[in-house]
Amino acid sequence: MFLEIRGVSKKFDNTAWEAVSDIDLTIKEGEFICLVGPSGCGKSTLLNMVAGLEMPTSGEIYLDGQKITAPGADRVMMFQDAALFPWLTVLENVRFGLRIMKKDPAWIEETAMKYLDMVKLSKFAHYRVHELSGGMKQRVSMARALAIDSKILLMDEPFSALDKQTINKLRDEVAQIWERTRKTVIMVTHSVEEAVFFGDRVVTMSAHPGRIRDIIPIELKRPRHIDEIDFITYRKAILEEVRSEVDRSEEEELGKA
Amino acid sequence: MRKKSWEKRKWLGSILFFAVLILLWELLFLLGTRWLGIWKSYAFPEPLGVLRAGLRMAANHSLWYAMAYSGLRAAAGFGLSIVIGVLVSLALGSGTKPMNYLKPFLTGVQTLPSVCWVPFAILWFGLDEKAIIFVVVMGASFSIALSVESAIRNVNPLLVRVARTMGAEGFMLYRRVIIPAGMPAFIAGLRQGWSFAWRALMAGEVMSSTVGLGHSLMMGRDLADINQVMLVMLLIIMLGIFIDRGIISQIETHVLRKRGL
Repeated sequence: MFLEIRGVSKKFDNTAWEAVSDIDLTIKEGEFICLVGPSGCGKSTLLNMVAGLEMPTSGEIYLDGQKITAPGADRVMMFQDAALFPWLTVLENVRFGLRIMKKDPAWIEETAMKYLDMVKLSKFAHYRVHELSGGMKQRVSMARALAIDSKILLMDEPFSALDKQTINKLRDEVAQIWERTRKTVIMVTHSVEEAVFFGDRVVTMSAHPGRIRDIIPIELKRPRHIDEIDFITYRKAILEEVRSEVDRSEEEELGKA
Repeated sequence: MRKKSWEKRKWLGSILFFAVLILLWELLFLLGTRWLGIWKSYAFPEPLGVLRAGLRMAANHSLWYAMAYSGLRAAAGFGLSIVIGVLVSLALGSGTKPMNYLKPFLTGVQTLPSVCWVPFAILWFGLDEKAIIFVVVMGASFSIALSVESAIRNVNPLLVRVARTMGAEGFMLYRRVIIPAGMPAFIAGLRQGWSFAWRALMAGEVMSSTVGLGHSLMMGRDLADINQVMLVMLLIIMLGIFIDRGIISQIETHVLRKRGL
């Protein structure tokens, strides 16, 4: 298996329960996995542990047979906030990871432009970050992450800070790019629609403690359309599952307070 | 076009303001000394007298020597303060236990007016260059250290996380992310450090007896030449502003503009 999460738990000092509790999950190369669940279900914590930004309290994570102990360029992460470096131009942002790897400058230039082209921003290569719209920023962040050509791409609610129109457009483009690159992706999202749109498998999680509730393979051909009847059926089924989890965790939180 | 003419008007306005101010000053001088005779003319400076003092000091070169020596000391003292400030800030940021106590200690030391270091410096080094530089360094370096430490601490943690998942660690993380991200706050800290350094330098020079602007100020007192005193005070203000506005603030504007701030 490509990515193996074995019995991973994580407990933070300031909470009574485990944020992530005893999670087993294996992911094949080239698979697109979506994690959905109520807030507090530990989906972002799980992603951070795969990134190596957090360490599990117990259990292990292996990528390509190697145990994850620290962050690394083989597991690039995209955040809800584009988190571009404001002192660099668009192109310089995309070059960032490649320069860390100390590759040949000519190759870096060419590769960075290739990925900027992929997100349709090559005309904006020399713009400053503050001159871009929110959607454009997230595209640059995507190009910056893809340029590194990591083994796996981690996305933490990459669309949730954008407006609805931008989201729809960007989703289609990301789906196209993914079909071209077939990169292994783990995406955390709170949108079930998004999860069904992208996922080969959708992992639903429950909160307090954060556990995997269900893993649903999405057997829809690509490109997917959100108004197809099969799509709606999947979405409805998963939404109900998630909603009952949201209700339960809300009751718990309110009851506790 | 419109912006240009507005800026021109602003320039004209400030020239007019200072012209009127100097005129009023001259009138006040004439009123107090000549017409009413309530002040002695040696105890009240006048614009023309200041100009004469300036021409005299320029002609006998004492003006240039004073500015050059003060400038060199300022450069050496401020430069050394930056180096020490950055090193101390790295120690402060290391997060080790004793460093947690060092920070409030430095904040405390920082409240001591730098002129209070002069007797200590003279006892330690004697009346010499080292004493003055020491006073400047004690006056400026802790302020710089504290602001650099806060510049580093306030770097957006998300940028650091993003860079780490792209493989940046250790020195590379500092060079590519933390230093450029903290640059605006660092420069703001330098501006404040400069104002401390300049004040400390003048305190040191007034108390010691080597060539410099502070010393020229005391020479004016010894010669009972209030116009020279006034001239040197104006020079000290102008040089201080020139370094702040003309140099540090220009760099700051450049750095901020790049970031769209």
